[in-house]
Amino acid sequence: MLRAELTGTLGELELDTRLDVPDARCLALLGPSGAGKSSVLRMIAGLVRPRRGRVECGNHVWLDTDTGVELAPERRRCGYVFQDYALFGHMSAWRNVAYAQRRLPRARRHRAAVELLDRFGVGRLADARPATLSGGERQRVALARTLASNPSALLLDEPLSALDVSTRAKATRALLELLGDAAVPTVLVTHDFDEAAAIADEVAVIEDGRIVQRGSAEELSARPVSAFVADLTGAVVLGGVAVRRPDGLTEIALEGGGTALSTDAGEGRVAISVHPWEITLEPGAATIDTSARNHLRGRVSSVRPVGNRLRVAVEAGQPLVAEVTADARDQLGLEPGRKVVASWKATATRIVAAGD
Amino acid sequence: MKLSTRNQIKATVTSVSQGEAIANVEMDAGGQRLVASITVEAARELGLEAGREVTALIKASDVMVAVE
Repeated sequence: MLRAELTGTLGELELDTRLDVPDARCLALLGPSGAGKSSVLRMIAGLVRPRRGRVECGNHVWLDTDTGVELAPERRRCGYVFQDYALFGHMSAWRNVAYAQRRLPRARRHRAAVELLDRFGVGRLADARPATLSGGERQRVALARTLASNPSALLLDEPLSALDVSTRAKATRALLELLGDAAVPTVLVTHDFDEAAAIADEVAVIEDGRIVQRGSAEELSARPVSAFVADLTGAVVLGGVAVRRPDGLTEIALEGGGTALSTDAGEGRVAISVHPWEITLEPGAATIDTSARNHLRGRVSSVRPVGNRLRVAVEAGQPLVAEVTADARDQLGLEPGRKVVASWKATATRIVAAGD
Repeated sequence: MKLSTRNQIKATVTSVSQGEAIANVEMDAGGQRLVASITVEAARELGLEAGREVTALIKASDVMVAVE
């Protein structure tokens, strides 16, 4: 178990964060840049000192400002994977790994390093310098080096963000292998909900230095506590003013014009959250009579592939995103500039606390 | 029907059971039973009652596939 309680001032930001991660579990700290998530990692690793705090891993106290305990970074047994992997450029791949195995007798280091590189599928690159490796290969060398130090906790700082989309799936599998092999508490820092959902067991959303919601990716997606969390999960978030109707539905006058109905309860200034895959598009301006209660007219502003689906952005007085198949795009001519009606159900409309 | 919804299934309403705000609409699509949870308001506006011919709309991303 890794436990951290950290308070401190970082520029404008008041950090006040508590987290605990059981063995062999991964907690993602999800938030926008400037929310304090990387500072939390640095404080756990001992690279930044909090004003007040306590960090313990297993039975070892790494930091306790109340009792004056403060272990140097190199004595905290944590494997830190940096965003840019921070490999030594003047050393071959195997020497980079061996650097973390200095406790081994010199004669055994080469073999042990190559074995670890093999485990991540880059054993054949043992003699290559980092500059000659691709982003995905560098990531694997960095993961091998991390495991080589036999860490009792893993700290991952946006470990996939330096990679292009085509290598991300493979790199994700390599990371999951590392997590499985190390079987230690892991904290992953990311601004990407999909990355958090793919790697972590649980996600904690950090806003202005504080954790505002913690749960599985599914829970966050289905029941975000605020517009801030809903937005981070990739949902469409629209602000408005809610009024409870006598029939039990809630009617929201949207800031960007138009109204929406929700089966959730809400009153006053709120935000609504809808997932892109709940939104249906109809070309033209006329609405076919359907049971969907919510319709906004607008124009397609962009079409972007996500996996094997398409995200169609619609400007409808407020920005919307609908997820459709390529087949639907082709048949309905959903191209930028096209007039469309976006429709979704009142039962798919969540009411969440409004943002600032 | 020009909708991005990929599954458009012709069906006949067999029953409508109304709660406070939500109505469950049961349909028969060539022997297959389908259920929709919609608002009571929508059920009333569309005049849904047993015997009414309708189209059930299901987005491709909402369909799960199972094998026995």
